[in-house]
Amino acid sequence: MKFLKRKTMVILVGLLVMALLAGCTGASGNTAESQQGTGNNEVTGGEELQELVYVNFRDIRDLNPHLYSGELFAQNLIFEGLVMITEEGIQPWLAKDWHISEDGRTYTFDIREEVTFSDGHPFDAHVAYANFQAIYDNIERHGWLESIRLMENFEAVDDMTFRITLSEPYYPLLTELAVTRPFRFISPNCFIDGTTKDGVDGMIGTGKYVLAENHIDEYAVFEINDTYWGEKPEIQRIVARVIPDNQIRALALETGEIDIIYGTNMVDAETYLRFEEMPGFSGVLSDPLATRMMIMNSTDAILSDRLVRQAINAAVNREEISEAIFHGLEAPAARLLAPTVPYCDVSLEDYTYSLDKANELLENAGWSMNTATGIREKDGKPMEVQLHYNIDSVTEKTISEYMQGELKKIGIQLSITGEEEQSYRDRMKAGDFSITFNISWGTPYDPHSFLGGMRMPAVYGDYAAQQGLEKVQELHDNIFKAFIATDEGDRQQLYNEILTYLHEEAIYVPLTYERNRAIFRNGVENVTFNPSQFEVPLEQMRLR
Amino acid sequence: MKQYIARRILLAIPMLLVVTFISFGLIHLIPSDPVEVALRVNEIIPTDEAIAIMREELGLDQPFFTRYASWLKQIARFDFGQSYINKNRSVSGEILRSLPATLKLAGMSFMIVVGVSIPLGIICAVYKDRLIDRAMRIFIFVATAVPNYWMGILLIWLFAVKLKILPTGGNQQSGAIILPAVTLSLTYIATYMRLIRNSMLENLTENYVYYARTRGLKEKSIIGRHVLKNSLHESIAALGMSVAQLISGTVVVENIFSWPGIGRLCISAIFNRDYPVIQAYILMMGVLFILCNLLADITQAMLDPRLQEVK
Repeated sequence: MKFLKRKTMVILVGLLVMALLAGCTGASGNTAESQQGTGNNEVTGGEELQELVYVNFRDIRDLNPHLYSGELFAQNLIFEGLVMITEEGIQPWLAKDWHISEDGRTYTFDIREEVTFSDGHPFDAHVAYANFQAIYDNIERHGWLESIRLMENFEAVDDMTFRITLSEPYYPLLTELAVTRPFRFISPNCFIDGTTKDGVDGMIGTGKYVLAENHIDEYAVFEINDTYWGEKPEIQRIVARVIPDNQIRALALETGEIDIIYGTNMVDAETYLRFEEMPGFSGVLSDPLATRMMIMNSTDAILSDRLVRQAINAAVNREEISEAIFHGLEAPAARLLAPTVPYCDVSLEDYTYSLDKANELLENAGWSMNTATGIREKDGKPMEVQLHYNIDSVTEKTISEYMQGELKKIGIQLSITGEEEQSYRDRMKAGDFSITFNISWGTPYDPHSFLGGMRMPAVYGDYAAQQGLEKVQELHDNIFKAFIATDEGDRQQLYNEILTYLHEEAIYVPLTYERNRAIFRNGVENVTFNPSQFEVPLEQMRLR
Repeated sequence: MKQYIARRILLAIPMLLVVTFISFGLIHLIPSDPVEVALRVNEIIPTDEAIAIMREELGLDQPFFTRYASWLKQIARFDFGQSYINKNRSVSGEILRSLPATLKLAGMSFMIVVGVSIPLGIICAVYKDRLIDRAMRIFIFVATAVPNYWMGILLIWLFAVKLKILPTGGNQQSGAIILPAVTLSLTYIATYMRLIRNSMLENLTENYVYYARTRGLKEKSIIGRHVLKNSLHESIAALGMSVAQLISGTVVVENIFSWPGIGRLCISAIFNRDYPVIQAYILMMGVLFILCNLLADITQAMLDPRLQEVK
């Protein structure tokens, strides 16, 4: 018995020592992984360091600019491209000028002089070539980019001239070169075996900031690039903290631990409205970015009838969705792409809310009301339609439930099914749906990438949903023709035809125009939005 | 005793195999194609060419059992493959990176659990049905009923937002561990406090206590030297198991408090469909529970030799 007691004590003490050791191991364990340190940044003493604490919901991950797995805001701070998108259109960046040949197939870029990467490696046409080659090595990964498919040749004509030749003229090339990935430049010193296909050894760009530290899943530190070729930003240091939970992010802003929360998926509408009202904080909204919509499958037995699709479009009260579900933060969308989107200011009769019109269209389509059930019928079959939504999206769930009630008013029985995101996407891609949700690609990808995606099977639901349309082939041909048209008038004419056809066929049910948003403490100034919705213009912000 | 331990270890081997099979097989029960998932999480549009290349790259063109066998060989070397999200990071590297933070949190919570539940359990047993015992019963009720998630947010709201004495989360500032450790330990404190209290109460009715009292021993010495030791015997195995529970229970707490541990790794792997990381996590937790169970069994057998005779 005495032996047992002593043993008990030994075990108890052992457990405690284990716990203590665990605590100590953890305390001394270094979870930091410094991915890269350029060492070219030393903030002089005496002056107060301007530091902005930004927040993201996840780690910055792999910032290789030629792949798609890093956080865009971080890639955008470090890496630069040949041209940039601004409110005034495409502007010079690492290319100080460019010329487009008359046939629209050859783009010649004059490379800016005296640009170096933060590791001291000079940037020139040969470096641009090496980067393009590295991107091209991975061509399968860039299937969504029409420009990569059309790229016939690229070359360094001399040290400061870089030329791209396309197999067909393609007007969105400059936009695709300007977006954050994949056409941004990384120092050749970071290449592994002469390419970036299988990863990179360091994150060295020519940008305004350098990645100074990265503590995975905790925070990353970006410091000003002392050797930057252009005007330097005011904020010297940006700390990007990782806070995965929505509510905790808002609480951290309230306590002053972070300065700003930026992005639609980072701030829900209610939090935005709360901080907009809260003393000491402000909120800003961008112009419309992308269209939130539903898509109807034209091969579905009931929805193959254009009149039915038009009736559903007439039964949607977009104002109410905007006010009741989005608290007015998203504007009602009466057409597929907002007239502010390039080439989309087309004369169309907006979809308007009218239950009378919807009922009339359904009557004309041969669906008559069964007053006993309240559901319309045709040839003895009830009008039952299925809507699938992503169960992880509260917004989609709410809209689905709302639509269920609304369509009941015109005698359509809408059954709604929420699915896990991956299965939901698989269903979309396979075309195995009647109605589902969709979103346009947003600025600056609209309209060309959104419309281009319609031509590609097994990418999004658009291709499958359009297969029941009478002139689907003509539509897809017109989309490609618009891309390769060299005459501005011809291109606009083609876009007019495309958008008019899609509007009349009514397979899309536009709901609202999504807007970007940010909330921040009042000391942060010049919080703006770039035309490219995925960029965060941190370098333009100032601290008071 | 040695024989007993050897037998228990031998029995654990098939269990471990089952765990490996489940963690490998589970991923293949998910309706989505892992290849497409691997592409989509990297925001690559899954065109047919991209799918074919990725399938070969991940070795998913091989039959199930071939893949399982080579995976077993790999994990025997603690090689769980590469993360889908970031090919430059190995899964074992990711686990080793995040494990210390979780051990620190679980260790701290364990100390809080032991440090709080034992004295409170004793007090409640000694002052049974008095005010403190009743108050503690309410505490037990609340701490067990309120989910971690909600408790975490309440604590942040009180200590970070209102009182401004602790940070909302992260692992950078001093004192950042306090709120997550307290949140994590609350449920266990309630459980062990009740366990110790009941065990003490049972022991207090034993004959040896009456005998001790009749011998004229002081109440303090009866409780401190005899009843407590006997009561703790029964709780030790449960406390041992709580180490595994604390480590696996960090998932929710780490996400609320932005704590860079293995729970966060698991959740982000789930959101990103980073299958190799999820597999490794399931396997690790399975192994951890088997090991803790084994240790608890052996400990109990050492404390109570009667158990060794049970075939």
